[in-house]
Amino acid sequence: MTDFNDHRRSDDGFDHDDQQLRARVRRATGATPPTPPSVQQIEARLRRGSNAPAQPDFARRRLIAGLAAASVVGLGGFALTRRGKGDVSVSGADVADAPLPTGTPSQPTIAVTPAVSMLEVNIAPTTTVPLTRVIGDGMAGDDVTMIQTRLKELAYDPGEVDGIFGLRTQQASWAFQKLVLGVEQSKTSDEIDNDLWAAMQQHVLVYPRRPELSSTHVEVYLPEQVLVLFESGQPKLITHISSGSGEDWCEVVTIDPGEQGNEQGTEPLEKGICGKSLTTGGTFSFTRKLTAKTDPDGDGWREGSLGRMFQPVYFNYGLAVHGSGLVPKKPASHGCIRTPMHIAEYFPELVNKGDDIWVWDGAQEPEHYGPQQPYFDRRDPDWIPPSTTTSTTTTTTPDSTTPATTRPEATVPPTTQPPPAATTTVPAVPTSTTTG
Amino acid sequence: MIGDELRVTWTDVYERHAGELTRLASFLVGRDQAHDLVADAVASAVTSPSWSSVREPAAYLVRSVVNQAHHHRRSSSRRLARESRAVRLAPSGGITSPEPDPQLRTALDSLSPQQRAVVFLTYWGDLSIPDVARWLEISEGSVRQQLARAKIRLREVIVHD
Repeated sequence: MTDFNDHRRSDDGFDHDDQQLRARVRRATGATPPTPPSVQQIEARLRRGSNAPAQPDFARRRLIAGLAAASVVGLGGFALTRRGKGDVSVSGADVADAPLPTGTPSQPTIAVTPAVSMLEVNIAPTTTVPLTRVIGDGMAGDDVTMIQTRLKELAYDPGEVDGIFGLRTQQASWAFQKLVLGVEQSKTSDEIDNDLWAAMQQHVLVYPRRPELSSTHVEVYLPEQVLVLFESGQPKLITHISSGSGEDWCEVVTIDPGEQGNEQGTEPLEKGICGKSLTTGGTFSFTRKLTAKTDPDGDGWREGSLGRMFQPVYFNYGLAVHGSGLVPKKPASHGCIRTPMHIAEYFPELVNKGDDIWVWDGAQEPEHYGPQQPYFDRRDPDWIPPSTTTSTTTTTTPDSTTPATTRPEATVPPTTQPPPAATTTVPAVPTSTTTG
Repeated sequence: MIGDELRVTWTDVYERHAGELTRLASFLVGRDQAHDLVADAVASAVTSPSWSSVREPAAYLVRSVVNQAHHHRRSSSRRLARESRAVRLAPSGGITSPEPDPQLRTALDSLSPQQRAVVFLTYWGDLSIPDVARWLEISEGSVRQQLARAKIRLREVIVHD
């Protein structure tokens, strides 16, 4: 209070309601004030190089780093190093044989981290036993155990190593086929024959396309429909995914109270909206996550207006990496990145807020887009709201009347000394429905 | 990076106003985020090229906090709404909120950061309309308008105790 003394002036002529409101504001504000950050804390923030908000500087720095690494991109993004132990010819001609233990690929553009040789040792095939049968859905046996063990070694997750060839093992195999063998998504095999098994026993290394990103980071390859989580340059998790289908849609959605677009409501709000099921390429980082532990409902399921999401980790407004029971061999989501359920159970623990997640859309490099906004939903022009309901709700959520075009009101107008605009110009308010 | 000369200046200004800035931040985005918001806003302000030529540094810091609130608000509005909902629904002895007045918090969340700032400066800071206009560098007309809109909204949401 005292600090504003110079400018304080009594303000006459407010009515009774006004007085009540004033009293209430003062009571709440006068309650024990929060601790201000110390000068040292702010200085620490300044020393970090990029002052808050870190985003713009951050993105720019990344962009430069990305350009420097552009030559790697020409290889098809990630590098494979293979030792010719098996006799299977694996597609992907940009592969270089590498001598152990240094494991230096002959591709000069690929920076090899010291960790690589360690990785090579770890990744050495456990077995060269050929399969005596073609493994298909539901089969069980030691050979299945062998396949599952190998997939796990290669950072795929076939679920529990139980010797049964089920969907999880199939999905892991799809990811391998797509990422390593370059098999087109729809042509991936649901079975594992001897050729495929031999390929799995190859000495295959997956390098990050952008090793300069945060130590733990995620790369999403949309054309392949594969997500790879790297830790210190090594793949920690490789999984099959299903992303946005690219289709336009119009639906009547239900927005629960408290969710975006219905923040203040007490009743679920129905709304006709149109959107595009698009997972946008670009450079992002994780913003927040909902896990069973942090979920007020306790189960980790989020009822997005467009579908259910298990343990979502958000990276671009309403777009998240999340678990789903349905992860088909084609892009099927509304824009989110679906992973199999058993992976979503622990995925949120592997990443932290701020970790990079870059998305390759197959058309341009992520740097080209930067932190590209998702395709925001818009009001369905043909939708007629039900007249009988939600009159109370709509009054308390005026935002919902013009969702796609609303901006946060009234930024400070241009002045002679504009205060530092935080990050960027305020983008259109994301009314993106949380997508599934 | 900032020189020593400048650092003396900003720390001086900041320390004098830290308490009020944090109150403002708390009013804008909620207690749990106030600390971060202030740190972000001050860091952003003092590294801005125009910082050295600012005539009213305190007002400048206030505006920086308000601007920064746009970003804090976006990421957190949903969570805040859910939290305050949880608080309202919680049986007695259940979840306690860090907010002294969760209902007011909910009401504030439906306002734009600038509307919140106008309410704060008017009701808490006791500033007159011309002063609020000067502090936020907006016209007096805008201040009146924002305040009127904010009041309507707040009355809608805050039922009498």
